[in-house]
Amino acid sequence: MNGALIRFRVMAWVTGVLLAVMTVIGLPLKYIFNATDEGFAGTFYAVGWVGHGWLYILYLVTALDICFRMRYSVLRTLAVLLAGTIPFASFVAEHLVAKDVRARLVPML
Amino acid sequence: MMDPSPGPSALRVWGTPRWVTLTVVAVVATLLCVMLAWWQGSRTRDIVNAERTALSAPIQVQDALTADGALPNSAIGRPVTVTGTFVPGSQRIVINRILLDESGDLPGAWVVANVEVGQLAVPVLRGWVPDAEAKSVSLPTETVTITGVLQPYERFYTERTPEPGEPLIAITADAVQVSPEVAGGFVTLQSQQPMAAQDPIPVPPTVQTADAPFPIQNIAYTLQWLVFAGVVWFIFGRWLRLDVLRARDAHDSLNV
Repeated sequence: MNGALIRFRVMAWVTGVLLAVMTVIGLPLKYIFNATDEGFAGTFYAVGWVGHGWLYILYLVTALDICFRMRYSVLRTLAVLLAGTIPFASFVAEHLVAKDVRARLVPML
Repeated sequence: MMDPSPGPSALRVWGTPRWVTLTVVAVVATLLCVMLAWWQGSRTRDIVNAERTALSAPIQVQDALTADGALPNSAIGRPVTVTGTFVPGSQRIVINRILLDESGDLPGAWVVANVEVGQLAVPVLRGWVPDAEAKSVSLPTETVTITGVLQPYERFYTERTPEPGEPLIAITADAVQVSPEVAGGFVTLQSQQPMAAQDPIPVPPTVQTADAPFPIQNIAYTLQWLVFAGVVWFIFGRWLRLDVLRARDAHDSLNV
């Protein structure tokens, strides 16, 4: 359980940080400062979003793992999975899941 | 004594209203993922094809158009040659056009005229002139051979909404018509044989498809949507198994 939680926390942070960067820096670059597809800004934009897509798939795998181990309900699991696509939501999901895991593990020690 | 029955089968659990609903949801989610993958895949293909078209050798303009003289989307950006004579009186001026010059933006106008090619009038954007000269630009009377790039009418891209009253290149009812005009597009002149010193300065095509970067975003999204479709069924399978185990536990505890 400990390994699964660490994997989920790492992916929640990595995916969340990249999504935050792409939202706070990437989107304004393209839609406010009208960065073109060419050059550094364009490459940063394309690679950043593609990177988020693949990291999100890893996030899905680790999140599913922890949700199945925790026997979460369908809706709760979907909420954790979708948190990886909403800016800053994965930090909240990570915090709540970690708190929940600790609360359930402590009595067993 | 042990109960001989192993408890509800996976099929039995799947037949419950809860799992019938979840199956429908999973099928809809999969269709959605596949449609989005298809969309991103065709975007990738279109961008790659458009670049290949833009880099192809010029062909006769009438061969790039449909049989009834319309511009197909697949021909946008295609280099073409136009051989014919300018239709007298068909020239029109598109005001408020800037020429990007090394010394800065030069205000001026575009000059458009129709070239008669067989049964068709092909609108040609001859180029840019300073405003003051616009009225006095003459039309060549001899047969010309023009090399240019096919472009859609400027209303093609809806995200660029024209200002009210802004002049655009579009089909003109008032220009002298001897033949039906090409529907939907025009040719941006790049070179003309023969060309006179006082002819307008050729302008670069507005729609550039030649040096578009490879659409890595689109191709990556295509693959990602297909992976998501797979994830849907992975989740479905895991949950179904959990539910079957749960149902068997309940069954066993009833029989203890």
